[in-house]
Amino acid sequence: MKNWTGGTRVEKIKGNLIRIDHRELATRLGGSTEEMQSIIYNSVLDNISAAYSVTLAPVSEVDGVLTLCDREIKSSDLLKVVSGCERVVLLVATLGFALDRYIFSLGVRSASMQFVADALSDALIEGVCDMAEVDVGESFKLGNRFSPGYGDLPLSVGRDIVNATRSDASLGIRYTDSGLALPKKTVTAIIPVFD
Amino acid sequence: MYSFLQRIKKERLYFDGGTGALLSARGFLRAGEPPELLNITNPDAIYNLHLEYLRAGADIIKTNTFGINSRKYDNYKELIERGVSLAVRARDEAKKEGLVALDIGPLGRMLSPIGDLDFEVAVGIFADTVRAAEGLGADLVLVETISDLYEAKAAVLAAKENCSLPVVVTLTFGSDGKLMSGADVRGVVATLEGLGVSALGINCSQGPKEMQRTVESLLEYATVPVVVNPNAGLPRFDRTKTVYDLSPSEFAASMVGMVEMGAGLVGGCCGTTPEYIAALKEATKDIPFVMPKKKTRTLVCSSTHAVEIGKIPLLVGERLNPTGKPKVKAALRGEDMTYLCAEALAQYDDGADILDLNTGLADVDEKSLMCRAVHEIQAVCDLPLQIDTARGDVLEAAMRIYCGKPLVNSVNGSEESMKTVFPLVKKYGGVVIALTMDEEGIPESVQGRVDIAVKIVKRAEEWGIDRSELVFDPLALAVASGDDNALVTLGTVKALGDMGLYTSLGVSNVSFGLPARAVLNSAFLSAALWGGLDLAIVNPSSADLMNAYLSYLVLSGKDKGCERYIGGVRQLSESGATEKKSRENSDNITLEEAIVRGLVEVAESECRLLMLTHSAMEVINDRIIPALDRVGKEFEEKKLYLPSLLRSAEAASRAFGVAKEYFPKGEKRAEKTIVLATVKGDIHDIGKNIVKLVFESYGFNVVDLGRDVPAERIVEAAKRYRSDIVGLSALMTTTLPAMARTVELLKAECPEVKVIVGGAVLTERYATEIGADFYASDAMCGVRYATKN
Repeated sequence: MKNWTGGTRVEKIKGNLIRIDHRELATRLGGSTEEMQSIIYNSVLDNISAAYSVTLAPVSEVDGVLTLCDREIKSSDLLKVVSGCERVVLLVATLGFALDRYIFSLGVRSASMQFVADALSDALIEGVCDMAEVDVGESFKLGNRFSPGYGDLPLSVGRDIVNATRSDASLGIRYTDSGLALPKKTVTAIIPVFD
Repeated sequence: MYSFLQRIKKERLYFDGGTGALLSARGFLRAGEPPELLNITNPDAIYNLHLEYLRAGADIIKTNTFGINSRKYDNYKELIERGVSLAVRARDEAKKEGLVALDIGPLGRMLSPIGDLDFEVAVGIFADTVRAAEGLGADLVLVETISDLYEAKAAVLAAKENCSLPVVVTLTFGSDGKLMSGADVRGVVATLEGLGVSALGINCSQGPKEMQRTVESLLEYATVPVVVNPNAGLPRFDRTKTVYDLSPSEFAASMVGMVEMGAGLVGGCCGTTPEYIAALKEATKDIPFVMPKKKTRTLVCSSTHAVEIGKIPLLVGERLNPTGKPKVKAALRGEDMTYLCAEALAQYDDGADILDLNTGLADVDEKSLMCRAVHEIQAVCDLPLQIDTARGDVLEAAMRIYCGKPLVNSVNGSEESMKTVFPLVKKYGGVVIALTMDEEGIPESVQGRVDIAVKIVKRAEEWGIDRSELVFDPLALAVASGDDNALVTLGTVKALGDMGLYTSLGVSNVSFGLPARAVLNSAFLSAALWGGLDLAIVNPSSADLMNAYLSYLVLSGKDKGCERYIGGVRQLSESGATEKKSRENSDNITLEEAIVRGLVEVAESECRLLMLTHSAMEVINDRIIPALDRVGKEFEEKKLYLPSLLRSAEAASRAFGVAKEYFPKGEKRAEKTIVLATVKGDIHDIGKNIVKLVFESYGFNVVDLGRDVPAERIVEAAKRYRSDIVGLSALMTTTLPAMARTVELLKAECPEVKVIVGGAVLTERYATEIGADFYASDAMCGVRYATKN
C-alpha cells in the first residue's frame, strides 16, 4: 500500500496467506494433536472471509482529553500511545460471519474441536491485523496498535471506530445491545502515525 | 395512470441515485450527520433533489427515510411523514406519472441466532416504519441494502402485514455472489419470491462491472423483475475526499449489458447523481424491454443452502421424529436441543439433502418445541428443513420464523387440510408434500390416488400455488397388510411422474411388521427411484438404503465419474454389519488409558467390552471416574492443557453413555442435575460448552439452556428440572449486570439451589458480591465443588 495518502481502504485477504504466531498458538493448544489441528485449520480456512479496512483519521488533544472519531475520549493509556501524533490509522479487521456459524456448530459436535477452532481463529484475526499494519507501514511510520478494552480505553470506542470507517457497510460489522462486535472474530484498533 | 405493478410488466423503470454524498458535497450535511434529519432541518434540500432526479429521467424516487426506524429515533413518525410528503410533493410537481418508493434500510443489528435481535422484534420495528407512512401516497415499499436474508424476510413480512403496497427488495451481495450471512442467489430468490415480492435485485457495495455476475445469476433464477442499482464504481481517495471511479457516461455504458440481459428496473446508489441517471436513461432507452421468462425450478432452502427438487432424487432425513424413537422423545420432553442439533448434523454427515422435523408428542408443547428446534437447528445445520406437523398453528409458527423456504409436510385432499395449509404456503412460501388421501381415506387403486392429486393441483392453483410447488406422496402402506400395496404405490409414483408431477415416499413404512426390514426397504427404494421418485424420506445412517440410493445414481448416469458412489458407499462385512474404519489402534489399550489419552472411539469400544463382564456401576466408579480424576489433577497441576482435558472428557462422556445403557431397567445412578446457561445479552458459548462436557463426563445430568438466556427462563428451568446447581457464564463486562440479576432471582425463587458462576471477566470477589455460592475459575474447579456440595 505504498503512497497511500488517506481516506479509507478495504482489502480482502485469502485465508491461506495469513501468517499466524505458531508459538503463541502452541501454548494455547498444547495437548491437541497435530492431526486435529490440521483438520480444523483447513475447515476454519474454508469458512473465513478475511478482510480489513484502514482509515486515516485526525487526532487531537486538549487538557488530556483526546478527540477522535468525532468524540472525546478520556483514556490516559491511549493518550500515551498517540502522544506526539496528529493522525492515527483506524483499523477494523474481521474473519466474517460464516466462521461464527462454523465455530458455533462445532459446539454441538465436540467442545474440544470448538475450542481448537476458536483458538486458531484468534490467531488468524491477529494475523490479519499484522498484515494490515505491514501494508499501511509502506506509507507511514506506525506505532503499536491499541484496541478498545486495552488499559482504560473503553470498549464502546470500538463502535465509534466502526461508524467512522463505515465498516458496517464495507465489512458488515454490527454490534449487539451488550456491545459485542459481530462477526465475533472482529478487531478494532487505533494505530498511531508518526509523521 | 398505471400502477407500479402494471408498469413493471410493460416497461423498464428507472430508479433515482445516491443522496448522502450529494447533500454533503452541497454543504447541507456536516460530517457524520445522517441525511434523514434534513427532512425537518432543511426540507427544501430534499425536495429539490427529488425534483432534480425526476427531471433527469427517474421514474421512481426513494423517500429520504433509509436510516429511520423506531429504535433509532423517538420522532421517527414525524421524520417518515415529512420524508414521504416531500417525495410525493416533488413527484406531483415534476412528473405526475412518477412513482414514490418508501425507502427502508437495514436496522444495523444482526438477528438471532447470529446476533441478538429477536425476529419478531425486527418485524415490529419495520412495521412501525410502514405504518408511519400509511396513506401518505407512497406507491411501493423498497427494502434496500440488506445483507442478511432473515432481516429481509422480517422487512417483507412487516410490509405485507401492514399495507397493501407492492414490495421490492434489493440486497447487498459480496464479490462471491453471496450475502454476508451466507445465502446465495438461489436461496435469496426462492425465499423472497415465496414471500410474494414484486421485484428483487441488488444494490450498493459494488459498481456495475463488479455486479455483473451476480446480476446474471439473478436473471437466471428470478421470475419477477430484477432491480440493479450499483454504486458509481469503486471508491478512491482524492487527496481530501472520497470519489468514485466512474463518470456518468462510463457508468451508463457499463449498465448497457445488464439491461440487454433483462434487468427490468435500473438506477444508482452511492456516488451516483442526477447526471448518472440521465446518462443511464439515454444509453438504454432504446433497448427493448423484456419480461423475465417463466422458470419452473423448484427450490427449497435454508439460510445458507438451496436445493433443487427434480434434478436428481433427494434424500430427506427422517430421524428428527419422535415416532418409534425413544431418544428423540426423551430429548423433546427434556427440551434437549443439543441432542436434536447433533442428530441434524449426523444426518448431514450421512448424506441427507433435507431434514424432516417433527416435534409432535402428546405431553409436550409442540408449537414451542417446533419453533425452538427450527431456530436452533438452523443455527448449526445448513440443510433445508421439512416442517412436519398435523397442526395448522404449529405449521404457521414454524413457517413464520423459518429462514429460507421450507418443505411443508403436509397437505392432503381434504378441504379442511387444503384450507389450512395453502394460505400459509401462499403467505410464507414453501414447497408442499401433498398426500394422496382425503376425507374418504386412502384410495386402494392407482387411479383413485391420481384423482386426488389432480384435485389438489386444481385447488392449489386457485390459491395461486403452481403445481411445481407440490410434491405428491402416494403413501407407502405395509405389504404385510396388503399384497398389492407396494404395487399400487409404485404405480402411482410412475403415473404422477408421467403427468409431470413430483413425488416423495416414506420408504420404511412398506416393511412394517416383517423381518429383515432393511432388505425390503432398500429394494422398495430402488424400485421407486427407477419409477421416477424425486424425494425419499429415509434414515440416512442405514447402509442398505444409502447403498441402494448411491447404486441407483451410478446406474442411471446421475453420478458423474461415480464420485458419490466411491466416496459414500458403505462396505458391509460378512455378518452384514457395516465395517467402521477407525484410525485408532485399540489393541491393548484399556478404558482408563483411552480416557487419559482422549481416544473417544476406543473408550466407547472398550467400555462395551467391559460391560460383558462388569456392572455399569463398577465401570463408572472404578474405571471412568478415577481416570478422569487423574486427568483433572494433571490439568490442575498444569501438567496438561485444556484441549487434552476436553478430549479426555469427551472419551469419558462417551464411555459414560455406554455404561448408562446397561443400567438395569428402572434403576438409575443417582445423578445431580445442573442447569447451565450463558446469561442474557451474552452470545458466547465455548466456556459453557467446556463446562457442560466436563460435568457430563463426571456423570452429572446437564440441562443446557444455551446462550443469551433471560433470568426468568433460568429460574423456570431450575424449578422444572429440580436442579441441584445452576451454572452461569458471562464473557463480557457489559453482561455482568444480567448475571447479578439472575443470581438475585434464583436466590429469591430457589434458595436451595447452589449457584456457580464463571467466565473470563469474573472474579471471586464479584461472585461473592452478587451472592453466588461459588466462583469457578475453570471447569474442574466447578466439578469439584459440585461433587462435594
